[in-house]
Amino acid sequence: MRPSAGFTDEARENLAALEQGVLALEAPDGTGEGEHAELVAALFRAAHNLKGMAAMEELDELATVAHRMETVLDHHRHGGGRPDAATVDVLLAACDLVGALIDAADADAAAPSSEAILARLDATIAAQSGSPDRSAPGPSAPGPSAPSSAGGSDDPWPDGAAGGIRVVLDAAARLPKARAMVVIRRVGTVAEVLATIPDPDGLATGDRRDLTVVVAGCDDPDGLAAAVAGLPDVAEATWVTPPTPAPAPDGPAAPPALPATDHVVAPTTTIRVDVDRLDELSDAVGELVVNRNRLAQEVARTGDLELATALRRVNRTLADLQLSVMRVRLVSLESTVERARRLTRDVARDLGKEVHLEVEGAETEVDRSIVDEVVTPLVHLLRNAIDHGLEDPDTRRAAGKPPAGRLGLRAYHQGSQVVVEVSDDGAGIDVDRVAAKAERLGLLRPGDRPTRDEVVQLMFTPGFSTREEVSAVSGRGVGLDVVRSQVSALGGDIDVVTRAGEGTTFRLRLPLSLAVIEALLVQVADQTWAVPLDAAVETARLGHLVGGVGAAPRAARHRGALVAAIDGRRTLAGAPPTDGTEHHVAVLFDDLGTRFALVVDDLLGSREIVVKPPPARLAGLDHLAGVTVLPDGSVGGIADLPVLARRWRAENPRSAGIVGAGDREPPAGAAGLAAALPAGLRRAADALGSLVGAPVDLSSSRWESAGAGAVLLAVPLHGDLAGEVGLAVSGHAVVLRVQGVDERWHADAVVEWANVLASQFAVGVSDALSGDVRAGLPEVVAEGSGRPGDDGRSAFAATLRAGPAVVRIHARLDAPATPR
Amino acid sequence: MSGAGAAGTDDGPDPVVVVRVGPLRIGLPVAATRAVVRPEGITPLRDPSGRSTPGALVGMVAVHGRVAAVVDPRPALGLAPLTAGEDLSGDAAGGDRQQLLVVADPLGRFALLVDEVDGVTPDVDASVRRVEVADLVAGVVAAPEPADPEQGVGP
Repeated sequence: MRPSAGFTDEARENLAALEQGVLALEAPDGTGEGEHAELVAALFRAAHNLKGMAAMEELDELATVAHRMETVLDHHRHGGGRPDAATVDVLLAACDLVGALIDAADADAAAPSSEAILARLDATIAAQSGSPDRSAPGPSAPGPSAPSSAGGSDDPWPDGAAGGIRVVLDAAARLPKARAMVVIRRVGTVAEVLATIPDPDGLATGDRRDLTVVVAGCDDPDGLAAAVAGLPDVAEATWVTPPTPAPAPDGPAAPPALPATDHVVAPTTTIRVDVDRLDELSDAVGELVVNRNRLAQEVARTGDLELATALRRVNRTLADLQLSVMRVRLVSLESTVERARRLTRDVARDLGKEVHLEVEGAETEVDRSIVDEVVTPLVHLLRNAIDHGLEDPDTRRAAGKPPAGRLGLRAYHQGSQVVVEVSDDGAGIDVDRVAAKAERLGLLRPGDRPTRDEVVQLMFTPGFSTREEVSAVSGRGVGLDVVRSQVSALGGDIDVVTRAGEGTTFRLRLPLSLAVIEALLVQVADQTWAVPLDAAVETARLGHLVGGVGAAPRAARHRGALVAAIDGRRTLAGAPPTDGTEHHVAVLFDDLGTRFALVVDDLLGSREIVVKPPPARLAGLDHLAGVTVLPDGSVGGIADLPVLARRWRAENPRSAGIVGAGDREPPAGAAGLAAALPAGLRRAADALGSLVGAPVDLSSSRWESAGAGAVLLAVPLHGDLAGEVGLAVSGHAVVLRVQGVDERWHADAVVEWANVLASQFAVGVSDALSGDVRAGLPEVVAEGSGRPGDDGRSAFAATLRAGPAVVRIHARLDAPATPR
Repeated sequence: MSGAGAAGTDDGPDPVVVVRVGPLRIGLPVAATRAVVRPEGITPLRDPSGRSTPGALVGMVAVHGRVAAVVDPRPALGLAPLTAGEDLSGDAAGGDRQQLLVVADPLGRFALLVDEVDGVTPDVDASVRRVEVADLVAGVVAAPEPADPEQGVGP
């Protein structure tokens, strides 16, 4: 038999409170005795509530387990001290069983066996009291702490009564007694319940639908009444005070008058709404947006002013409606965080590691659909962090770290996105090991010299993870490609910041809502595609594209820099490649530190679109993040930009000769910024190679002292550019130095090149900067400028603007005074 | 592919919608069908990677606010694709009599480009080949992802 409507949600709420509280019992930071007592009391109430609810639904197995948990907790509630780790284990195992029993009841499926857990609970109870508690409540037997009834309605109020909540249930309430018990439990969470008038059993048999729950005291009667009024089937809830007995000196006490009503509270303040109904509402608003867009097109075509005015009003109302619907769908990440706490504890214990989970921003709200979908990738990342990121206690001690690893889970809003970070203070990703494995898997060729960032990105490659790796390391984990594809499917992205010996941070950027987004519509061959506006950095008109003859373009020059070019005609529309000699428009976006240009035929403008899932998982169309119905009724695809970027990387693997600087750490003592400099230098060197038409080999680069506490990354140049390019670092001051004997370092070209090198250098540094510098900043924009100096040298400045913070890098390009 | 025959329940065989595709008459479960519409407003869609069966994926279409993938069932039935070599766009989906049979399946929502819809019948004779939606769209649907995501990644 399925439980009544609302039971499952309420039972899960109690279970969540129970699980969260049990985990808090062994929190490392500890609690005071008073707090501990409150915590145990709250846990007891949650178990008691579960028991009562289960009993009312005739879920005997669940009621029995909850009762045993209640008994275990009662021992600690009455001077039993703090529960030890074994007791916490048993309680958590019991929570798991309760969850499974609730699921089974909800699905009307066979309940899992509770025998083993009950035996463990009994053993715990026996250890506590010397004899096991074999009592179990029947459906009609309230738990030990159920309030005694004050009898019939004419019974006097008990001594010490401060007042009570008088409840009138809906006449149509199916299970009035069950509802009454829910009311009693809810009141009991904030006040000591002394009695009920009448006994709840009376509600089950008679026509009566009112009940007064008498309490010893209550700090917030109105709040309590409001809370009760929101319970299912409660038509009215009011705070009442005890009747004043009339003086009757010569006879028996007069029968009590009906409780006096002080306040009438609105019957409901919150309601539960089926998610499907919310989805229907969301769909309806989406259709409204489509129709509004069609209307707007018609208004634009006809120029009807009256219609235009009406349309503006519709727009305002629709905007309010959209916002309201979106807000209704927002839920906090609390439930996800609770799962993370439990997972952290269990995995850490399995692996024999000590882990402190630090949570920040659990209250952050996102669309419910996002919450549902983000759990799996987060669980994978947390497990990976504990499993692979954090060292065991001995290793940590040897490295001068505290034995307990720190695991961070942080969530915050950033613009129209929500960012979720999973960080650890472990060893960081062993880039050499990843590269070696990538070579074994054929992802790198012998002699390939990818940068540190590029090696890290290889971990997201499908097929990178293997069983062999699992057995060699720990036997658990998940492929990051799966994590990334799940995040991409949500319209989000993931990046990684890792530092040797300091730890790793995975940063997930997710949309707040999946229903309606702002998108840029583009024409690609005979198709219309939508690009999420959040992801687009800018649009630009590009000059010649760089690529092989007859092949699709692979790069484009933009603002003096080379960006990766994705041919929309070929990759989105399956049409013949774009002619690279034409001028084209492009949507620029960033992916994992690289700027991409999605080359399209035309920009059709931005508009709100309703995101719908693709009609099916279509072969070869994994770049289809979703679909939308366009104003003309046709269907447009929504481009999955991370997928396009990933494909570009796969089709354009880096060739040899660019590794070295990026993989080497600067000498100890270099400023924090120095750690990010190799990435900047690499980008600058790449740009330099493009400018001069010859690769710049960083493989022989070396770090050396440059005096006055500065260090120099010196890179030899070969061929026509014989000489050396160097990057001197001293604190935040950087000098890009070129020592060579080539006339190309002179004249105007130097300025242009300096601009290019400056901007590329800045972008590289920006991308590699630690989260401390970039955290919470909306975007980082790099600007570069250069000018020839009087002494024949050129100076340039690169500025990284990141919201309120600005990092300035001043550099000087030293050119040889005498040409060859 | 399912052969001819009467799948059904104790109450009798499930009725099918009989459609004509080239020289073939095929029957699809009524339970899977959602609508029959004219092939208008089709947005062309091509598989750039060539992983789907050539010609099978035609495009997408919105029917009553919901989007379906337009599929030419001919390749799955051993026939030459109707749209092979054509640059299908807009309303150019075929002849006057062609129709889109919108079907829903656990694999997704599809609009099958058929020559004619004959009607619904509980009895299928030997001239009708009974098929499931999955048989007709297999060439355009991506293979499922590996069921076990528990792979390791260990730096």
